[in-house]
Amino acid sequence: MGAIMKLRAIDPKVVYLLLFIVLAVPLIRPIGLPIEVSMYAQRFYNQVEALKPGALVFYSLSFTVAKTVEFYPQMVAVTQHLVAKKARIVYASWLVDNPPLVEKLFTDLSFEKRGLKYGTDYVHLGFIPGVATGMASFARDVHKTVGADYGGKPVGDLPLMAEAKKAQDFVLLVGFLSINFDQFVGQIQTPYKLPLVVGTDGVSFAGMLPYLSAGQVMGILNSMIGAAEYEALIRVTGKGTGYMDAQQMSHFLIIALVIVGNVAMIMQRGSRRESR
Amino acid sequence: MIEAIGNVIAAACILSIFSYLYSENRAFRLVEHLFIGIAAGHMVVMTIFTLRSSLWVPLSRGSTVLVIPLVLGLLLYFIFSKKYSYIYRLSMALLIGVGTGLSLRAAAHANLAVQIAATMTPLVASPLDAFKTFNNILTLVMVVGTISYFFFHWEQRGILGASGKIGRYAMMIAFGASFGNTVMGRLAVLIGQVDFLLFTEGIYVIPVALVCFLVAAFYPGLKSKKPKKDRT
Repeated sequence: MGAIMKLRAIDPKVVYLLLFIVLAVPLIRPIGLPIEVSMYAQRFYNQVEALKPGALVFYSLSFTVAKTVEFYPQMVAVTQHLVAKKARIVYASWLVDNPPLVEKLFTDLSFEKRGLKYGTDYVHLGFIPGVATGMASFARDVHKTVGADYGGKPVGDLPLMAEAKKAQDFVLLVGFLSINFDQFVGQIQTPYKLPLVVGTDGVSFAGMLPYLSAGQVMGILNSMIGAAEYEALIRVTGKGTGYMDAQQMSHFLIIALVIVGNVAMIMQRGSRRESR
Repeated sequence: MIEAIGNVIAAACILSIFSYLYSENRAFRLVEHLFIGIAAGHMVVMTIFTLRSSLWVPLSRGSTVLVIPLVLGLLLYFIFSKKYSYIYRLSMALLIGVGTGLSLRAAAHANLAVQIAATMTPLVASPLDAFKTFNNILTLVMVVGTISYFFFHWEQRGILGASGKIGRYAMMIAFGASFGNTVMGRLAVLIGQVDFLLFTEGIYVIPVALVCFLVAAFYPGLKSKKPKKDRT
């Protein structure tokens, strides 16, 4: 009893150290805890799986660079699936943080070695400013909104962009969004009634669920667990799967600390009553 | 080689930020300022890229209509003139007007009308599905409860009190789910950093950081002084 009571006054630095150990051990020596695929990830997968070869997909990003760890494994998994389905992809970002990540994605997934041709199979438009204004303008006329791609090449010179002139030209919208999600739905998805699948971070996930119920979003990937689920669906072992042991172990630690803290608090209350 | 040097610098930055958990120190402040500087620099570069793609390339290809937004954009710089600062309001008014109009359109239709319509589902699901029916009833009860919690005109007693209580519990469940996801997201970010420290060249920085930590712990003179209070 005394030990539990002492835990209430534990130095937070000890908790930080404990958390570091709990995260580091499964990363060094993976345990292989099972992962259950959620309905949200399954619905996301179904949308991509249903694409026909050559389907035009709009792939957009809007999240701060600090959230890269949550988004990037999702992006890798989804892009691998899109490439396997032979989709043609137009990449764009609504936040200045994101274009370098798209370039990193091309390098990490060796787009050139896979035989994907820039301008024919994929295009990177870079950052589109203005948020709501930029989105509304892009949906109405892509070429008038973005004159050149991320490398400065006029979009009119890119063969793929001859088919991507307005929002309705895209078969599927894939968004990795936390910031500006509601604007994206309001300016592009709902007015043009396009199917949208979203990868998001843990903070934004709960807020997106009503959009799923309303049919505005067809599937959601939630943070790193979303990436792990998608990797399981496409049968690839990536970063998401590798991180899941550490994620689950850290949750066990937090639950244990919450229980210990509450038990100690109840015990303290009881001992105070007795002393009265 | 360049990537390895980059990883070592990144690891040193990560550990400097983490050092704040022990106490505020000069390394933490240095990296904090570096981050702000780099973010500002990145923003400037991206703005130049955007000007190139959205203005310079189309303008050089004959889209002369873009001169109008160019002039409107330049007018914004009149904010720095005491005498002519009123001119920048023309552009600002246009920006606010268009932005508000578009946002309201999105809010009213996509974020309100469609959401309300999605809430109005038949109580008994057809074809008969017990789980879906239960879900629909639960949605109705919780939505009505939550909205009634925000009736401030009447005292929360009787039926309104009971309904408001249901609404409060519904919101607590929603906030709990949101908080749980937030914790999961924050831990994911931490896992990424720990993974980076352990499995890149960043691992060589850990012993150096530990030595620095021990020196700082046993020689308090190295700790940064508290910043002076702002007297303004």
